Amino acid sequence: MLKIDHLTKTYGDFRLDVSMEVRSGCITGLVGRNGSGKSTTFKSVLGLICPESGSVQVFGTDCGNLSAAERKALGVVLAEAGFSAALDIRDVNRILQSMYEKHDALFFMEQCARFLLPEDKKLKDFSSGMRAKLKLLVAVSHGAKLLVLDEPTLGLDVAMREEMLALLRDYMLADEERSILISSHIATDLEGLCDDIYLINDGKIILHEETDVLLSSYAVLKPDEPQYKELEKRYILQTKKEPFGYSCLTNQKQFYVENYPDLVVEQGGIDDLILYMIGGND
Amino acid sequence: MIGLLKKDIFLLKAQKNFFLLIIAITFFIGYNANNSFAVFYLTFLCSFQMLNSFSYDDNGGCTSFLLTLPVSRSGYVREKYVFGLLLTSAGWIIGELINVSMALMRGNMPQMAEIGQNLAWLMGFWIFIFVTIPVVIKYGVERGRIVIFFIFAVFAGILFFGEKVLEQINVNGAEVLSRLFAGWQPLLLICTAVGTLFALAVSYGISIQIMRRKEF
Repeated sequence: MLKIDHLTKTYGDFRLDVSMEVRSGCITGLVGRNGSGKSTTFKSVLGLICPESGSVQVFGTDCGNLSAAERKALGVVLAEAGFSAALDIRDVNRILQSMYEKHDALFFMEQCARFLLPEDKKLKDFSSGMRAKLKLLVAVSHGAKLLVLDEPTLGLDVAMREEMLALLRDYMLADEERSILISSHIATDLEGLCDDIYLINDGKIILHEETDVLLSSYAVLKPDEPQYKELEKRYILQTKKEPFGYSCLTNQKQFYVENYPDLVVEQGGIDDLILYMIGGND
Repeated sequence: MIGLLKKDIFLLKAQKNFFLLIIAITFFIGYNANNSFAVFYLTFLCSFQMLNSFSYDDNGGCTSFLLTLPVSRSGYVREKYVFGLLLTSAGWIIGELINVSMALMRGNMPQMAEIGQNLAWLMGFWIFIFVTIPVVIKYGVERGRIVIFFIFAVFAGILFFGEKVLEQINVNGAEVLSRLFAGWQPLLLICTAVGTLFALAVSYGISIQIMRRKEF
């Protein structure tokens, strides 16, 4: 569905060098800290910036040569961009009708009503949460085959985030060939949604793992000083010094549970992964 | 293209009260002014309004979002030219309608020659938008305004000094032109039309090149 092969782009000291893939029927997450290269990757996929080298293929076509039909099969949310704030929802609906033959105007207006988005108010009077909802509805209302979503839940409260994620699950259920590439700084959003996750730091992918594996095999060990000395270090990915001893990220949880019964083993999540893989000390 | 045109028209619609007020003022002032006032003023206003459509797109990264829709970079540029031409033409037609109405109210019959002269204003403002579009695409609206001001200042300077030079050699430029086209107003119009088309082709080509290289 989407294949990025050694995409490179340089901004001053920052250099992006990314390879990743979004398979058909899958939801792929891209996580990383601010400035890690997520938005640059998204912009490259969407042809908004010109990569220096490498290739980005969407539906098997170079992203710079997408036909009108292929562009219509994309649904996009950009974190910092959207329709002009001087428009209202009825305007947006009419514009989308003109742009996409498959735009489902009825669904769009129904969903706007469901999410309490007033159709006669200018977008400039919307809260950031309302704008985020509208952006997502715009992306899912024309039956796109691939959604490219940069921080789609930005500005939403917990309840609204869940509703939006449910909307994405429904979108995926409607057609098994649909795919999503999504980034979010809220890792729990991705844990419950994504099939696989890429971790990006300083312009490079430092980890790619199936979400199930990530949640079942990754854990944080909390050994004290004596335990740490005895600990098998082969499966430790990162270690941090703590007041009580150490905390260590592993991708072999079961090994430590079976061999170190007294060791405190905490379930690792994506937040831990980011914290240790990016912020931990060797 | 149609979607983008609708977007720009909806944005205009958001200012309909302003436009109605302007038309009313034009009508009021035009009644006591010369015959070209309404045409000049409304065409001028519409050409600047076209520039405002870029402002709307610039705000909140709207342009980058639009380019993620089924809109190619060249399609975006093409729409801006079509919108600019349609908007300034609409301004000119409304201005001309006001002109004709006022002439009839004064008990005069509208003169075709006058309408022909007013057509030159339309082409003049088309040239204006052909200069501004590539500049605004390249520099954005805010910096673009400064660059446009600079370009027209240079242009005005050339005209001013050109006239001074001609004066030095005892040549009256305006008189030469009027003699050249005396009795040949259609020729003047044809020359202006050809010049305008040429300017459109050059401007469009430059805009496409700038847009292809632009990053968002």
